[in-house]
Amino acid sequence: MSSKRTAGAVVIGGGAVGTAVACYLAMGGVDVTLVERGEFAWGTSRRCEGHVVTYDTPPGDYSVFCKTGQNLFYEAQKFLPVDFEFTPEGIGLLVDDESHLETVKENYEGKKKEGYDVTLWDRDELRHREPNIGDKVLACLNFNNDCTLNPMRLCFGLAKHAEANGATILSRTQVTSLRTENGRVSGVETDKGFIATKNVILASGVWTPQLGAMLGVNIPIRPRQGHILVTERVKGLLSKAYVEYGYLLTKHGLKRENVTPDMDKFGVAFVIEPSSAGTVLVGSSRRFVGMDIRPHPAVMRAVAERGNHFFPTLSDMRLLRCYAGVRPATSDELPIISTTHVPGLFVGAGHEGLGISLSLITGKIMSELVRGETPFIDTSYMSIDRFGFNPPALPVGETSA
Amino acid sequence: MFKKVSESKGKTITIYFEGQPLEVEEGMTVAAAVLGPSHGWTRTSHGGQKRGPYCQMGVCHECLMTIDGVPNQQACLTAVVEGMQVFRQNGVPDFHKENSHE
Repeated sequence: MSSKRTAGAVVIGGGAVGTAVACYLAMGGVDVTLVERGEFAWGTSRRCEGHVVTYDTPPGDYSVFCKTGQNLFYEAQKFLPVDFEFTPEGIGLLVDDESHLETVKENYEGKKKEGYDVTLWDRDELRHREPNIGDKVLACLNFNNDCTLNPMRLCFGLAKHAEANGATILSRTQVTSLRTENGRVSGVETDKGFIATKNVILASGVWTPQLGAMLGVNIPIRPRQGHILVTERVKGLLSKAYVEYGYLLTKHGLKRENVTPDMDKFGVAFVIEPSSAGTVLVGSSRRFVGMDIRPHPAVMRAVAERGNHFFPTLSDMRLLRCYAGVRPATSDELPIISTTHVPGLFVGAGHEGLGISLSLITGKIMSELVRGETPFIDTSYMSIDRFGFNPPALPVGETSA
Repeated sequence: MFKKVSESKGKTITIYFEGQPLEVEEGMTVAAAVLGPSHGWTRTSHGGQKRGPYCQMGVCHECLMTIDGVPNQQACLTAVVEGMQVFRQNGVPDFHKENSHE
């Protein structure tokens, strides 16, 4: 560890959110130290697909928030010192059930009113654009500003840019306790020494509750596991990333008609993304199994089956590997971007599947909160107090045998 | 560049590498069979670099070849068969198809 023992703010967590918070704090002139217990993008950020999306939020305040957050990536692409494989090609929402068409059309109209660049492809148009699409797919709602990126490169870029703006970056540094003095945050004890600071930002995803507990702050976030399959390298299978409309239903815990019992049980919904290396990432699943990140064959099979339904050509391709990760879920699907009842302790976590999407805007807002400014966009509904004062922790789920 | 360490004991068969007949020992893998005539490279990466069989046990995916018209076959896990057509693979296989729905 460096000889430096004080900081204006300490950010804990080196994923997309933590590195973004450190980056915006450093850009805002705060003497910030970023602490990560492993390497950068070590936990959830390296186990996702890297989508920056607006498709999964119904029109409203949060939708506008997501869109504002997305715009920041177009800016960051210009100043970040690392090419994070930013691909603003849009993401399509595939509809395979007649009964969903009406809702999707409403969504389309609502999003258009909010100023989104959205287009609706009917069956013929979709087949013209994506010849490998399955016969049962009826339509596609395209969110043309949605993008994909390489989340690990994003984290490296943000950490590097933070460093260039004066931040201290500490990897392989484990936080052992948080200290207070007269009720206010006074420092961070790590396995490599003590850092005196008046501001601590918890941006540690699923690990945030453990850190909050050190100061008696209950943070209701629990880990939700997701699987992603990686195919062999091919070209021409598809031209951009797609998600099935059913993904929104599984996200909101609603029942779907046209899926197998396993798909239902594992919360399987089709997500596909071509990578710049030629491999194709296929997801997804959602279930509460504690901190388990072992890929499970039954889940992999259900994800693959769902994939074949939307892109039957996938069944001709070989899988190279599979990975699973745990995403920080809250009970109302909104992140916690908030101060806490302990002065100097801030929380930027609980983004679940939107951690990459909202990383930059969370960083920007957190930088404003720490500097005592009013956030440039309303975040009051993302306050931790919406769960009540110091709410009890959520159950984490059973780890499967 | 490569030579066999033991004399052939089994029966020989004929396969075709890049259209040229090749006498090989029955039971060999395609990767082993073409190591000599291929000068060690059996495919190009999607970036155009030459690649050849590396791990020889199905892990590295460096030996992908087009075998009997099917791309992305792991040559190190595929046994030779009489009359087999083996081609180097350029880049990655193209799954783009003309619109078959119309």
